Amino acid sequence: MRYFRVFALWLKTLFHRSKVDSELKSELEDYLAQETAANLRSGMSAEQAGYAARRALGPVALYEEQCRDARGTGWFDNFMRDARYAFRVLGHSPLFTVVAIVTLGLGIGANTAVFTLVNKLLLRPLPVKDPQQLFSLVSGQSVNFSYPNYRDIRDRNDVLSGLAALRIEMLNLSVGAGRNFRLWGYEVTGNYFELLGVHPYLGRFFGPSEDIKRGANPLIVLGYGCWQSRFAADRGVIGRRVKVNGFDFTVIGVAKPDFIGTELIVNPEFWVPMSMVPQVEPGSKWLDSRFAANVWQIGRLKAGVTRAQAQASLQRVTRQLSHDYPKENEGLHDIELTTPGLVGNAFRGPVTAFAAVVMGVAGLVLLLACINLAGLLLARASDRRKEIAVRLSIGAGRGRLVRQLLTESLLLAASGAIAGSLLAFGLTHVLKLWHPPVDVPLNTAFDPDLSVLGFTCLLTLVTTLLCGLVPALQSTKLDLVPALKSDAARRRSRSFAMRDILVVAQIGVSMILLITSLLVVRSLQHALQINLGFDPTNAVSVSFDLGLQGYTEARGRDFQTRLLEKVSHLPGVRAAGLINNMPLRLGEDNEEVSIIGKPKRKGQSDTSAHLYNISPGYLRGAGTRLLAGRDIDLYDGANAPPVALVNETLVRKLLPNEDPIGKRFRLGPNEKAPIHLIVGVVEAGKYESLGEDPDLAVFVPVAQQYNGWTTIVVRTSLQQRESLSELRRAVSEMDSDMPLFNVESLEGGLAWALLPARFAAGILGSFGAVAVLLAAIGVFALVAYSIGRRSREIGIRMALGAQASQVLTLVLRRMALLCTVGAVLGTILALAGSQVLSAFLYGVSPRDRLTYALSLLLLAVVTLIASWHPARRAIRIDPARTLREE
Amino acid sequence: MGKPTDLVQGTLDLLILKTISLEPMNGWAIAKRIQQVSKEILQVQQGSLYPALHRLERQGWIKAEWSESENNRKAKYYSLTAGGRKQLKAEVAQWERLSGAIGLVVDMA
Repeated sequence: MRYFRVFALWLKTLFHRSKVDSELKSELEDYLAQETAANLRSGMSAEQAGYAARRALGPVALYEEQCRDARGTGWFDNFMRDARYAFRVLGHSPLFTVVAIVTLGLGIGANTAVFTLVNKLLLRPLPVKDPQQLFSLVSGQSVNFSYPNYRDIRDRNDVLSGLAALRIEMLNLSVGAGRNFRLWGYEVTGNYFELLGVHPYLGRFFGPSEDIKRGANPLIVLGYGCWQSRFAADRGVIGRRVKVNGFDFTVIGVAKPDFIGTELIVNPEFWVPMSMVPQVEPGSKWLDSRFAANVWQIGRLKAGVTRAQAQASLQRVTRQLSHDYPKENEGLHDIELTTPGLVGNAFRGPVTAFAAVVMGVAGLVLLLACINLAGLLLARASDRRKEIAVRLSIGAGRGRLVRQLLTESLLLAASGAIAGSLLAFGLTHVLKLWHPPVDVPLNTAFDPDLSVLGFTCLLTLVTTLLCGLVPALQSTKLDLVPALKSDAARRRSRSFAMRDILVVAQIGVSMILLITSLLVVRSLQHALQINLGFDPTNAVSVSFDLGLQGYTEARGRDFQTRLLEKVSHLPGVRAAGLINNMPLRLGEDNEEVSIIGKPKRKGQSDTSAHLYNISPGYLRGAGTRLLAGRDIDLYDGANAPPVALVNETLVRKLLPNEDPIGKRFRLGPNEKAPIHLIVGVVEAGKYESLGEDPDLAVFVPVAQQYNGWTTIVVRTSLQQRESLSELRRAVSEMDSDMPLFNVESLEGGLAWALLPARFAAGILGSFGAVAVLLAAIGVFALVAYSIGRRSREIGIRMALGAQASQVLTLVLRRMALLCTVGAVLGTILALAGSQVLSAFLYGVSPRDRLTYALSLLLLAVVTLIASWHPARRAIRIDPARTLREE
Repeated sequence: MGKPTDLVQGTLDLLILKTISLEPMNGWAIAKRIQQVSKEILQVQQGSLYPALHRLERQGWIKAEWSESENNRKAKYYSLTAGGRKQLKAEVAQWERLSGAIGLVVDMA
């Protein structure tokens, strides 16, 4: 009851302020009346009585404020009043306000955008039931397990309430005549949806009972995005027939928009039961092979079981499995449970490291914006000395004034936050529209949520304090008398020193940002010049997968031979060849290499090599140089002795100081693996990523080791587009239903490899641009301000005959000195911190001299340009006018 | 009489609660009553009286009603709530403990 009354009173005070105020007024009037009456009774005259009563009562306005404070809504009233006042003050100097809001908007926007991304990838749990109970299983460094092992782990453990297996595969989906797509889908065990506790948007999901009999349940669940884009969001889609890799499936459900499987960065198009693998991947036997580590596992802990207990129990299971099948499970390590979402947890390390760097840089941008604004506020504060002195002298408390000045900063920061959020929203929206130049449907829907909002609010408060507190404290610490009397006398107060520090800090931070971003951009430039092991110019390629389309090996071989023959005679073709998959594209094959007669030395590093299946003509098509020996040719057929080309790195590492030609090696882990003869050596290249260390590679004739995954590479004298459409036509003339992918130039195919570098360069490069912009704004504002302050002095000097150059020196000398100090400090700090960046740089030292020189030059030019306009105003000052004005 | 004694911090609440526990009173009357009863030793400053009244009202110890005052003006009359009575008891006990303790120290030897 009491609390209810208290609350009602608070509300009344807040929303019926005028009523409460008038009540207080009449209460005080009542006091006056009674006091006057008492005074009259004690014999005073009417005039005296009224006067004495008034004096006894004291300052009414003060009571009103104190009463409001006592009622607990005072802070709110004060805040509203301060905000109104701040609005007026800011409205009076629109240029300052706009500059401040833009500055803070850039800073806050950059941070909000980055945080949205980080939130999505690292912080937000999967959109499933009780995500904290879900774990990915990792064995050693690998998330891959064989399907039989999965079944055993699922059945033999007593700590998981459920364990599902999944495999993310690229599959052909045909939704109607001529509408064939090559898409990423999940093959999942029947308990997958149940385990996650998710519900469909339309129709239903398949369950455990529909994943028992092999090939019996051709059911497909569509992703929301797939349903929207490929089925025109048709609600009658349930029951429709589609083809997956040429096999008939029935659509039974559509997932909700926010459910994108259990990997955060991949946005799958559909899910099919694991028991359909024999139909979907014709000829594959991996469901029954303990050798083939093809599935990922995700499990849910039983209630009350800790992660450590579960790991211990799973350890017993895997050790038992290693014991039961020592040969098959040679590579099976103890199981670790990790947070799911980023390929088990494998991507989390690099993503976190990158995110930390980007967050750090974004933080620097915000810091820079704050320093900038603090400088501006400080400059303004000395303009407002008189105002502040007046308010102090009529009795405003310093705390009250500081609060009022901070309210102004808060208002600026809040407007900046709104501008920044719009900017961030725009940025993420652009990201959403942006289709990454790669095959994987990356999940780029960066939608902000409550934690983003919270983060932005927090940023706003931090910003307010960072940029507002120092100027507010500084400007309210005044000697009243000189401040009231005149400005000019006391120019060299402490605020000047403070402003100097801010200029130095501002230039320093800009320098650090600039160096960082230039390093990353130069590294991208460098990445484009790295020796790839092939020549990406003037060459195009087209890929398809014969296996997925149901070709047997014999038909596939025939198709490959005839296509190569046909393509070789197309106009403009200088050379053509086949390879299963171009280096630096997704979808790597690796195989163990052991040189015959040279047992693996103890402590010898990895002998796993990238394995490619090529046809004669590939080397010339791709532009890979042959360094020794011969290329493979048509005589290296299925019945001829197995041969191979190896790369320079393999020779250097496994056959140092020997002639590699004529040596033989076994390709594969077991004794039965085929033995190949080395007939040629090709140049080393990059195979998985541009930043990788030199790695082994082996090229085996596709005639001797068939692979249905086919990429045809053509070196051409035609335009890329023409050449690609010729290629496309050639394939479709032979099989009109064949879905093609990676139809692009070899340069375009590097997109995946360049993605990290481009991404980093894009983000950090734009931060660098923002830094330069902020530095320019800051310098411009400060120079303009100091010239404005000194226009009278400059006028006098010019009237006394000072030359333009002398005026310029006067105006710019101090600024130039401060900028130099800032640049030097920034360079030193950047040098000290640059090691952090080295992980993201290709072929550029984090102390690259050119970058540092370039940054210095750029900053110098920018500060010069920024000071140019105000400085010109200084030398055009008309002495007569400025002197008259004051 | 010398300078009126400033009220010890926190005792004003006690004085107000005690004063209006007898009958509802308006601000002026409360101040006068405290002055009279304390034989002009305690002077309640208006600057602290009204904020204190508002604070007590916010805490729910007292409630206010508008009614006619002696000279036919509308005046705000304060009276204790049930919670206020409890609070008064607690503050009186506290005060007695405190003043007793101070007395002991002052009278010592």
